[in-house]
Amino acid sequence: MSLLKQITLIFLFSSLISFAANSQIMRNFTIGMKSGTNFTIVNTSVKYSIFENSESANSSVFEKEYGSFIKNLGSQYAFLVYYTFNNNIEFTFQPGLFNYNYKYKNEYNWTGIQDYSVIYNFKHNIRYIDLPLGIKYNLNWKKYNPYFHSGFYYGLRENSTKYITKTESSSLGEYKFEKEALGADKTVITSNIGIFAGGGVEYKFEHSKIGIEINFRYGFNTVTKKDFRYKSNTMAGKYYDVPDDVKLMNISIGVLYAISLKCAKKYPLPQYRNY
Amino acid sequence: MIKYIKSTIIFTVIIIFLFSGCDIFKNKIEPKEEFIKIISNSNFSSEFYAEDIVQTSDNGFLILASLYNEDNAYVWQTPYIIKTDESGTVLWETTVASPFVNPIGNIIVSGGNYYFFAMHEINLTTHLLSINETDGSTTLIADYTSITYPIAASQNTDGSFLVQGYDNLARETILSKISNNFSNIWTQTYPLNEDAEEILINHISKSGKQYPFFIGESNNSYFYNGLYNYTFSLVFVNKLSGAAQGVMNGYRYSGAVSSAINLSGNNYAYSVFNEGVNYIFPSEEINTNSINSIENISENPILELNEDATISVTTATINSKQLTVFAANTKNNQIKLYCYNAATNDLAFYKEIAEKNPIEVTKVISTSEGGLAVLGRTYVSGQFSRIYIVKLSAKSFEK
Repeated sequence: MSLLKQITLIFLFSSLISFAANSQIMRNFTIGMKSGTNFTIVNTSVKYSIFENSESANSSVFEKEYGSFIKNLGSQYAFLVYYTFNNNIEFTFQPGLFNYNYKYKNEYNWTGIQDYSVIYNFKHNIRYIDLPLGIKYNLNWKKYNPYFHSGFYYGLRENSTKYITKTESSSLGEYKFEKEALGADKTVITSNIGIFAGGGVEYKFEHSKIGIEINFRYGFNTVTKKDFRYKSNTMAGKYYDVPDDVKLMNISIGVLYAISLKCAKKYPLPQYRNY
Repeated sequence: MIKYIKSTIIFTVIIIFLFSGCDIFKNKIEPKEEFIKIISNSNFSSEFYAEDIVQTSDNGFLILASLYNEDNAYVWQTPYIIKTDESGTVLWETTVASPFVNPIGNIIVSGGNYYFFAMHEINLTTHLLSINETDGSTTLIADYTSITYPIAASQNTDGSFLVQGYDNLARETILSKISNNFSNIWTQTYPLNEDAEEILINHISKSGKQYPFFIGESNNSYFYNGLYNYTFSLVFVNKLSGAAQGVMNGYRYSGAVSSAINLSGNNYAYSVFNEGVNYIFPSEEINTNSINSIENISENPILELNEDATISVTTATINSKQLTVFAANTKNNQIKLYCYNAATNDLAFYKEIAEKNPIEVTKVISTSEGGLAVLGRTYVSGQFSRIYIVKLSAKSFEK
């Protein structure tokens, strides 16, 4: 991520804190943290391969085989900022880091005087600085608060890495090469926009709450950097990995802890004394 | 309240600033604009060799290649033809049945039809076959029994064709001019004066050193690159009779012109290899009526290229720039495109096509979309020789 964007994010976060701290409406804010795991569902709109099958044109034998979303385990961490509009409605901003992981493989076979096959297993990790804005509807059942929320998110790609494992099989036996990690920032565009919806339940204490929630995300845009598809001589030229046009969907589960800033007035910060 | 408004404004400005860097709407490139394709084949022992590529009227590509596998009766190659669409997707592929072997470039385009020359596997004579662009079927059009060991072909601006062959008994190169109704206009021979059949068979069967046999045309002569007078030479011949009128001598078989096209008058864009070192000349005058030699060339060696590199040259207009483009293999396994400004002969820019597995260039052509297409072969997984096509958009040369 560029220095400019890092500075911007620091400003963004500082301004929010400053806004909350200096405002008379501070008592309407709740801040906290959440983390959890997620599962990525890959939505491919156009499939690509560097190979063309000369034996049966338009064959799909070279298409990537994507793993089940259950295996695409990722993680996410976020700060929570809730603004209470009324007893039922809160506006939410949850800046954080969101790790998408998804797996796929390609298998190539040769037969004849000797049989030979190569399997490339890929795991693609994309980490975004995640900026979701949403609205939350609270049901407020005494100590428990079931809620639903939805909104949109904007992700800034912070890092992208591909992990590749190559396995060769021939009459000589099978050989699994050491896993290789390759920086893949250039294969993914910077931005990722989508919507999310989900719900959860919170248990309320006097000024804080813990909760568990589940969310579904739907990415609107193709994250694959299309003009870099064939440009990597390692990805395309060594592993024959030409990325499909991929949109990311995701199911995330997390736990949260939040504290209301109402308590900041009730329990002011300690004053240091000079002796 | 003022603080609230101030904070809101700051927040909004920052959000707008962040979204201004959004690259979602710039993320557009059609599959037909750029691609790399490897024509795969699952036979372990098949080896494919690229011969020529032309762009068809639907902006797809017709590729002439040759195939060797263990089933071949002789050491010869089976003709193998591929048609792709503009995105590089294979529409059909076909092999040509015996007795036609060893297809040679260039693909001939005449009257909207496509032709190629091939050799008879037994009597080694030359045959012209047509390619049906729709389904890939081939038809024998003509036999040229006086031309043995066909080794290069080209098309002239008047629609006629030239075919280069070799007579191993008389030890001479054969050049025939064939009209666009497939009849022989003239045939000339050019003595080598020594036996070169071993060199030739190693070249044709792809089992040894590959020599840059080709044919070209200028306003006042045809030229062929091949065997002549104890050397591998560029020979300029009279258009009407085929009589030799000038020569750029190579140095025996270890130095020669590796690619050449006529730009205008006596100006040629050409490249040379000599004792492993390569030289590129984007525009040089050659006296086509006298005896010249590559032995005197020593300026501007391009040391990054492979020894005796295969080089393909073409002219192209990319982003409104008139260019002379040389495509060659480098020692670090790149196909490097040297793009020279045609007006000044200065190097305008490079373009590198790099792979981790070995790649070899055969031909570079300009595309109707204002970019380039490069044909060659690669070794898939480091071992399977397969056809390799790269299409580059004009936009890719802007960076």
